[in-house]
Amino acid sequence: MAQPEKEGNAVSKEQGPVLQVRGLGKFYGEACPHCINSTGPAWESNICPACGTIVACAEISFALMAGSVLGVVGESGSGKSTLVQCLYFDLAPSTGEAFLGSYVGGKKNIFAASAQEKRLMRNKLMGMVYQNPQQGLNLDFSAGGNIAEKLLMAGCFHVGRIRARAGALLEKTEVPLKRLDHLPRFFSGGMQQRVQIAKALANNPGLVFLDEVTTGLDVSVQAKVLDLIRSLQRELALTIIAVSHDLGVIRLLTDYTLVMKNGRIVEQGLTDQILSDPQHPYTQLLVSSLL
Amino acid sequence: MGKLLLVDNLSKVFKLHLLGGREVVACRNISFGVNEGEALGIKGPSGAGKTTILKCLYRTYLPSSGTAVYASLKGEVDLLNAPEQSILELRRQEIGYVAQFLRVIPRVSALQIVAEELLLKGWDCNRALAEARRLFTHLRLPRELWDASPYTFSGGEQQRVNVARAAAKQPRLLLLDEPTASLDLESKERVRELMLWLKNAGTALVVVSHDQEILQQVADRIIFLDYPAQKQGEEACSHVRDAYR
Repeated sequence: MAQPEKEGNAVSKEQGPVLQVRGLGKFYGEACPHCINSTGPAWESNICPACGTIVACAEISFALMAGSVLGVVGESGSGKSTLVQCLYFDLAPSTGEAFLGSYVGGKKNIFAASAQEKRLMRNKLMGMVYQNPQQGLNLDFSAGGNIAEKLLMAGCFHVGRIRARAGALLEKTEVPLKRLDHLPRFFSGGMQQRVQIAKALANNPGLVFLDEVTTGLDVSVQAKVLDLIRSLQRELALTIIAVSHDLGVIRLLTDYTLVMKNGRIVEQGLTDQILSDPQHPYTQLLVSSLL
Repeated sequence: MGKLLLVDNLSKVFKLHLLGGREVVACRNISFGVNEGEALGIKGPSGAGKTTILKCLYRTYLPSSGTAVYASLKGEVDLLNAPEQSILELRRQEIGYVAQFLRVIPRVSALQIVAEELLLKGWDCNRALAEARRLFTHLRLPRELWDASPYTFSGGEQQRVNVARAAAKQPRLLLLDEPTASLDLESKERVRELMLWLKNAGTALVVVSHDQEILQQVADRIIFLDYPAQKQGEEACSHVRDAYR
């Protein structure tokens, strides 16, 4: 479904949230009635003492409006990646519901959809950029081929149109067009990340996930990738969930932030408020640890 | 002129968990009003809570109690308690904030910084850039700096970009925190002119400043803030008195 891109500051007229999540949780283990009450930040642990279940995340609820950028921040193991991986159907959540405005008008829980519907949602309505390009790209397919994969999965089979779209996307993400037919295996880290971004945006998704996209890149490349994301967000009015442990990235990209610890949201609010007037002890510690 | 903003009993207490939950009162029981198109000055010693008031109204700080009813174009909104989504919308469309110091990304040019505000408001790119150029010309920002990042500018030049950014979208309410601090006379004059121009164009201003001269020249009304905790007894509140000129 490679439609011509919508250029310009397309301010979305859509009413209601793009995404609404209620009570999302992911457990590894048998799960017992004590799991919820005896894990979390108050216990400084996400392992249930009664049954040993790992509560990767639990009781996650939030809403996301069109054109806004949500940050998810927290230390390693706080459950932030689990959260986006559940939403992108990489993982099956153990509890909770999520509603996507563009799927049955936001009236049906996306986790209850059929495998086929999930695949279509994932490919047509969502985009994902992983921390590790190996996860998001097939490094032995050409850059163009990787983008084509996303387009094909969403039902666009016209070769000419696919190539044109792939070329336009690479141009937009500042990858030289002559690398269209090259293998990302031989690209630099920053360029692999840009190909991933191009792939994620292939079908003009209503929701884009960024999972630690700049972690592992050197500082100047980090800045370039972040600038690119920022300008694409403005230009295409993208709705984004950005996961990062880096408060600098959160400050740069997001309007609204969830702070996670031990699998729970400990605080959420406007990003500038989280950074200047954090409420929860953990957030205060986090902000005071800024370099 | 109707009431634009009515602040009632605004208090802000910081709880410092890193210091074992110590509570610090930044401001207590602040009440005042601002009419449409009016300029209100706030003065008082450092630490009296002037900046805190502005930040609470802009919701960079989470207020502890009180209300601040703002008559937005879409109806009344309590700035202290409204959902974050409405605050973001108001920041895009109606309420501006000039922080004491300009804080920008080192890679974005001065022109872009100002134009971006207008893009967010829905202007097209060329018109936004033209408006940014117009403001810089007025503020006499040297032309060779326009394409550079304000990160490297002098304090005065930074402050002019800071004010231009907020002025560009001609908000209905503009909160300014020490807009003329660290400026030389010439720059100060330019910023003062811009504030008056905004006011004449219908923007209501809330100006926090130590600069008596600026307040006298710009503000229709000045309120004075004392230390929140200095008065005896628990019932002590920040002492607000209207000092009409």
